[in-house]
Amino acid sequence: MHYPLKYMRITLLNTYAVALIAPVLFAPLCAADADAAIDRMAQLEARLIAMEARLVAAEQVQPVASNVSEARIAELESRLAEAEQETSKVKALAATGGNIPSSSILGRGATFDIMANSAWRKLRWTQPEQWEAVRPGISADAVIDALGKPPRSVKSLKPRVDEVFFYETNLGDRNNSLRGKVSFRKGKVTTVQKPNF
Amino acid sequence: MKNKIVLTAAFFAASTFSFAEIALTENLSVGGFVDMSYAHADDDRDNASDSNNNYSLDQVELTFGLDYGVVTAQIDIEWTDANGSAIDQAFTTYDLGNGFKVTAGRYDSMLGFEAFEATGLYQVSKAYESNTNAFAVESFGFIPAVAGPLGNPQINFTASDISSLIAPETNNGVKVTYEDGTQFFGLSLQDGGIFGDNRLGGDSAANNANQGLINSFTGIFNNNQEISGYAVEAAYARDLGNGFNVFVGALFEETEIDQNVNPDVETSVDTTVINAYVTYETGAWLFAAEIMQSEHDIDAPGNALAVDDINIDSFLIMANYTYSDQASVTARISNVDVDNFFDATKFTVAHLYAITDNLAIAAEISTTDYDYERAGSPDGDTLEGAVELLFTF
Repeated sequence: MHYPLKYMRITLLNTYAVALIAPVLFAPLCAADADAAIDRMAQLEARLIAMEARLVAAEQVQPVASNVSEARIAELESRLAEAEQETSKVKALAATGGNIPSSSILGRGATFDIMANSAWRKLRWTQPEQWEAVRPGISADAVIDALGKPPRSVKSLKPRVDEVFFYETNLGDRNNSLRGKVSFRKGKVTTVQKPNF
Repeated sequence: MKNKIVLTAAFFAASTFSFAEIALTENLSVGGFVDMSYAHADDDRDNASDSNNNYSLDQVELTFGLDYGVVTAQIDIEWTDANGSAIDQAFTTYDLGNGFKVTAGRYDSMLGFEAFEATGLYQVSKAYESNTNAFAVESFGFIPAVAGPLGNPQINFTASDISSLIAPETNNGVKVTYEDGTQFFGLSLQDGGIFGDNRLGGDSAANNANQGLINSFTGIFNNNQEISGYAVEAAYARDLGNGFNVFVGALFEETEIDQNVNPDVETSVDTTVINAYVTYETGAWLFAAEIMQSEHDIDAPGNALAVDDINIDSFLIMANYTYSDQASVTARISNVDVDNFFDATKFTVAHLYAITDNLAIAAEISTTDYDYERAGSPDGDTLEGAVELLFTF
């Protein structure tokens, strides 16, 4: 069968040629992507370090604890929350290795935001280090900040427990899934059962 | 199984979006419970005795939650043994920020210490109700017609009618709420409180669920009545610290009854409910005390069959002791006093054992000593027992 020239036949030779040419053409783009990601990571880390430094400085200039105003405490907590959010973004970026594809129709910035704000929010409880901040006495909001919104929760029927957050990867397979649990009483953590990482 | 007394989870139950849930999607979650029980009820009424055993699936409820940031919505679909399937609650809430929220739809009243659902109770039964006919007056039809509350011979009450005159339940309306870490305030404009007609303002067709109840004390027995009404409900709760919480609330309801027979005669019922309770928690102990004052002023000019005003004073005192992580015992004394007509005192002892976080068994024994204060009226004592299995998800 005869093919016109404009419809190039897919032959072994043509396939080799494309395979050789493609890396040459696209390598600069990938390198540029990786560089941009590293730059962004560096910027975020720098912002995080600066925030933490400001927090430390702010806490050091505080008078004795009894004189600390509620407003000041709220401000510090807000700044700490911002710092923790930045930490999350840095970790999310680090988890991807900085290899965020540039071919997304949304572009680099949008893709990053989706990954940082959505995927990270949902799955950060699967990272063992995220559970280090979850301890008895902290609030439900602090737990959600550290672990993300629980896939399942229940108002406990136990007298000394108000609510339980369940962090589970697979409800149907108890042997091959990560399963963690955080119990609350009056809005504060009472017990923590970490997943068996 | 906790009453709505814990400030962060209770007073705000009607205004916040907090329930057991399984996240189905980013914005949609589902939760609910299944309630089944075995119950025994023995009513030793004068010159009669009634004993019943019952094992049944009492209630299944599914709660769907939608969360779109500042806008949330909740839909509760329930099935009950008595009434079948129905929409229990359906409302949407807009978060105005700074603790203020606006809620519109069908929602539970903010009044009352005891929770509306079985999952929120320390006991199986509620304080002002009975599984027997102790609070019902349907057997009083033979009493001569005289003036006085609930004394009309044509009264056709159903069981627990006195109970249904005490506190508001679920109605349609719009409310504004405010809450911070230590206090809560709510103001609700709704289609009714106790005699709600399922619409805010205007006249409704004569299919009001409470029409029989209204008939019973207005003396109007015309099924073509049109009933309209509205109500305003206000509530305030505060955490006083050191384990003390207080709540005060009120309902003001106006119900108008158009007989459709004589348009010149307008009958109305003005209802006022004042409710207050205090709770104190120390160590493994929880104490609660509540008063509920319900007054129904009936205005039926020229209607000799209408009864006088109905005043009901109710109270409860409860103590709960949690003796392990999974079990607690509760004792409760409650009383309902209908002025010049009826008095009942109920004693309840209950035990709760939570097998897991979402499976529990509650057992209860209660007795009610009731007296009808009219000459010739039968009095009685009840003995009731129940074992309830609750599963939440």
